[in-house]
Amino acid sequence: MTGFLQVFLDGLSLGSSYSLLALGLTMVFGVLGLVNFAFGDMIVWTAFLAVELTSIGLPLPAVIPLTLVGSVALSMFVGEVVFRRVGTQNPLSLLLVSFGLSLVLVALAVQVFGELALMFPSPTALNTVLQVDGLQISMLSLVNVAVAAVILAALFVLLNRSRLGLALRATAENARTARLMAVRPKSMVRLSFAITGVIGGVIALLWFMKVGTVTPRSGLDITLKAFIALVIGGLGSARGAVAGGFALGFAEAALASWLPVDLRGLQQALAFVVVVILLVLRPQGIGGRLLDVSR
Amino acid sequence: MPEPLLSVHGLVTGYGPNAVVEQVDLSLCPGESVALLGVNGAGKTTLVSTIAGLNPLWSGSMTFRGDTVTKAGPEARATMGISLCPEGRQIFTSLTVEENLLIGATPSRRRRPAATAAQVQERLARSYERFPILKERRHGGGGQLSGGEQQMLAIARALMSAPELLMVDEPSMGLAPAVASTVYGLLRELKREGLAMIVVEESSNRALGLVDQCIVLRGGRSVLSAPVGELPDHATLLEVYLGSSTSEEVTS
Repeated sequence: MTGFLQVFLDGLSLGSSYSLLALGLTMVFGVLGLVNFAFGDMIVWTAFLAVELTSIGLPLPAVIPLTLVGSVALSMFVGEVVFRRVGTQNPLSLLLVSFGLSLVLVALAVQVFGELALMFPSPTALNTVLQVDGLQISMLSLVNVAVAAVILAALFVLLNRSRLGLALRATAENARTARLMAVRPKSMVRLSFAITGVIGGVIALLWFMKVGTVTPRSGLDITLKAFIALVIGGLGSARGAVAGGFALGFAEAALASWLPVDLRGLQQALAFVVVVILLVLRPQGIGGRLLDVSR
Repeated sequence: MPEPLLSVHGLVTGYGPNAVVEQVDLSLCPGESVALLGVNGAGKTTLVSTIAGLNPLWSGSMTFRGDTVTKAGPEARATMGISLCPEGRQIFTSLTVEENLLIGATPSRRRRPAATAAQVQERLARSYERFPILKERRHGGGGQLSGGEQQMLAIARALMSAPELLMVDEPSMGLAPAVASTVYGLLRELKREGLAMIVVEESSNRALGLVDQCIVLRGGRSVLSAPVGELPDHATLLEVYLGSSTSEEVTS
C-alpha cells in the first residue's frame, strides 16, 4: 500500500508539470493550429534568464516575477514576430518554422551560455524531503502540485467563465465565425501566447529547480514530455491535455518504481510503448471528445 | 426618402483570381428587408459575407448608417450593428447553447456604447423568451441541437448584439417545411419589430412573403432588383431569372 501511495504521490507531482506543459502547447495549437516544437527551448531561455537574474544578486522573490514577465514577453514576441507572420494557411510551414526556431534558440544559447550546465537557483527549503509513514515527498513536489492546481483552476475559470475565454474557445473552433461576433483572431493569438508564456515561466522555475542545472539542450526533453502528454490527451482539448499530463506522470512514476532494476534504463522507451498502445486503442487521445463540453 | 441604413455601390469581390460578385448595388432603409435570390453558386453567400466584412471589396463602396465601412473588418462591422447568421449556421459545438448566445453579445465599443452586463442578461432573457427550447437546452452542447434548433440558436446568437441589420443565409436550408415555417414566423416577428433584414434563399416563396424588395443574382450579377409588388409572376421569375429551365452556365 505504501508503495502504491508513493507512486501516486510521485505521479501527481510529475503529472502536474506535464499537465501544465501540455496545456501550454494546446493553447497555441487551439487558435493557430501550431504544435510549437520550440516550446521547450523557450522555457530553457526563460530558465537562463532566472539564472542570470540570480547571478547579478537578485533574491528569489524578485527573480520569480521577473522570470514570469520575461517568459510572457518572449512567448508573445515569438508569437508576434515569428509565427503570426507565417500565417495559418499552412500548418506544416508553422511546424517547420517551430523546428527551425528550436534549432536557432539552442544554437544561440550555446553561443551565449556555453555547453556547460549552469546551476539553477533553488532555495534549500524546497529541497527538504518530508517523511510521513514511510512516504517521501519533497517540498518542491508539493509546491509543484499546489502551483499547478492554482494555474489549472485559474485557466478553467478564464476559459469557461469569462468572455475572453469564450472568445478563445470560439476562435479555436471556428475563427471565421468568431470574427462575426467581433472577436479578433489576432488578439486571441496574442492571448494564447501570453497564457503559454505564463505557463512556460512557471515550468521553467519548477522544472529546473527540480533538475538543479540547465543546459542549452535541456529543451528537447521538455518539448517531448509536453508533446507526449498532448497526444495522449488529444490535440486541441484543454481537459485532454490535463488528463494526458497526469496519465504520463503516473505511467512514468509506476515504471520508475515497479520496473525491475535491469530494465530501468528502458523507462523512457517503455513510456513511448505505453503511448503507442494507448493511441492504437484510442487514436483521438483520452480527451479527443472531451473538447465537446456536452459529452 | 429616409437616409438608407445600408448602401452598397458597384460591389465587386471574389476569391483568388475569380470575381464571384460583380457590380452589385443594394440599398436598404431602416426596417426594410430584401430577399437575395439565385441558384447555387450565384454569389449570394459571397455577397452577404462581403457585406459582413469577411471578404474584402475588390472595388465599389459600402456605407452603413452614413458611415463609410468599405475597408472595415468584420469585427468593426459587427460592433456597428451588422449581424450575419452565416450559411450552415456555424454553431460553436464546443460551446454550450448559452455560451453560443453570450459570445454573440459583442462588446460594442465603436460608435455604440458597450453592452453592459445587465443588457447582456436582458438580451439573454429575451432570447429565452423567444426560444423556450434554447432555455431548456442552455447547458447542453451547441452541437446537440436538431437542425431547426440550431437555426434558431444561430438567429438568436446573431440578435444578441442588438443589430440594426440582420443577414440570414439560407434560413430554411435542410429544414423540414414545418420547421422552416417556424423560422420564417420568427423572421416576420423581427421584421414587425422594425429590424432591417437581408434574407438569402435559393428560391423561396417564403422569402418573398416576408420582404419588401427582391434582388436576383445570376453569375454574380444582379439581374433583377425590384420591390416585391412589382415582381413578375412566380413561373416567369423561376424561368427567366433563376434559370431553372435554362442550361446557362453559372459561374461559381
